[in-house]
Amino acid sequence: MIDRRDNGIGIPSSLLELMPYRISDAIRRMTPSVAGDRCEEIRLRLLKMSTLTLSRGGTAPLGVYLDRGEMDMTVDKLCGGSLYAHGDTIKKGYISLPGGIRAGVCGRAAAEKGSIIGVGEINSINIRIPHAVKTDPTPICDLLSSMDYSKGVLIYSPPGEGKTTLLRSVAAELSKVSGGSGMRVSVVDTREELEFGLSGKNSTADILSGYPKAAGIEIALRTLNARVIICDEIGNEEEARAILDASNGGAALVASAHASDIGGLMAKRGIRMLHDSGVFGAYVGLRRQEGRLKLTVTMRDEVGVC
Amino acid sequence: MLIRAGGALMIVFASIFASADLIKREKRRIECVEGFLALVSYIKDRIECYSTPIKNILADCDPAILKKLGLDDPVSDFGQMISVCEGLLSEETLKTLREFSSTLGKSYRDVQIRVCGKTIGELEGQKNSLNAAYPSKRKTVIALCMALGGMAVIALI
Repeated sequence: MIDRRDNGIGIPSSLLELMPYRISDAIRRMTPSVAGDRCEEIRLRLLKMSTLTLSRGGTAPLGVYLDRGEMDMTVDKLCGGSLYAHGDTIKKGYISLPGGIRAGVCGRAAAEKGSIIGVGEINSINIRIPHAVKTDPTPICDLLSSMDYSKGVLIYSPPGEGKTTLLRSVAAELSKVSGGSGMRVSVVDTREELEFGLSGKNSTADILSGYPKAAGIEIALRTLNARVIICDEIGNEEEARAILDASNGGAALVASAHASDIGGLMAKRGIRMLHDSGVFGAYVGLRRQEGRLKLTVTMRDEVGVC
Repeated sequence: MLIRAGGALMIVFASIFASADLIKREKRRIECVEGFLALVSYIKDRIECYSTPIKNILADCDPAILKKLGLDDPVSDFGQMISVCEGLLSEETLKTLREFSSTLGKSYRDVQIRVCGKTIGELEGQKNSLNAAYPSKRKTVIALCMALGGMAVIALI
């Protein structure tokens, strides 16, 4: 488990222990000067400046240029000394850490027939630290209820606005036993980011950790008899097609996608395909304003088709 | 005379115990290699089937394997397991295990499984050699201890 006690700017102390000494030392020395701000990302780069991304929009240089040995050691530590256990996710560009933390990685890829078969010589690591944005899942839950859970909801926003946090809140609220509906909720947690916060005894959500979306949705429908399925970041057309095949089973799908507005969302062929098939009954745009989330709801009928 | 007879008796007992101890040690050497063989096979299975992180694999290790290695409780580091058995292992086995330890968790699944397979093959060979040599070693140890004991008794009396 990740030790949630942080260093004053939101970096869990157990995460600092995974960093090279020069980085953790630079962060410790920098902390007083950025007190009151929150660290959203730690960006480590090979032979380039490592930086922190702060919640007020600034980038704080750490004054450290990591060498190959330090990068390799960091990757080894992030993988818990078991690179093979993270091989599949590294090929997809990330390493999942406990506590909903995700480290994006890139390096030298070996590809075969257009697919990445291995990634070595990691030269950039971007550790995203989940931040507590106040989220109220009620509007999403009300939307689902108003559609009698026959249609899903797609949450969209640019990266870093809080889609994952909102999805977690919705999953927690719908699956809550005491003071909630205790609904049959399945969370297809491909990137192992959603389960954080859903492990409490009050949640009845079934968590499918690490499952590919289509396979996870199929299992959620066929064997777990889910009423609501929650999954993060629907991407390409191929993925959307697989989701479509798997999801024609009567459960409401609550998912998220990267887009800055509804036009941009509908420009994505995969999303458009799901829209045309009526998988989603409503689209909810997110914007973070002064630490709170602002929601813009567009019903399916209101989406202009061009 | 009585003291000499007592001394001779002690030498005979010492010879018997020494030979028993040396034979037991030889058995422990084989057991230790068998333990590592079982451990590496177990690691290979867990990586092949579930891609389980090495920390969890070692933490869930079968007590029977640990017993063969002379451990009561699981340890979190493969290198530590080698250290515990260092005195019982040949240079060749130590080299095999150290090489395995240095690559454990450092490569992707396919490569890791191949490394496990290679290590299992090498350990199998070393175990077979030890097993083949065991009967003759046993005879040599018994003969040597008895001869030395007998010589000491004769010299004493």
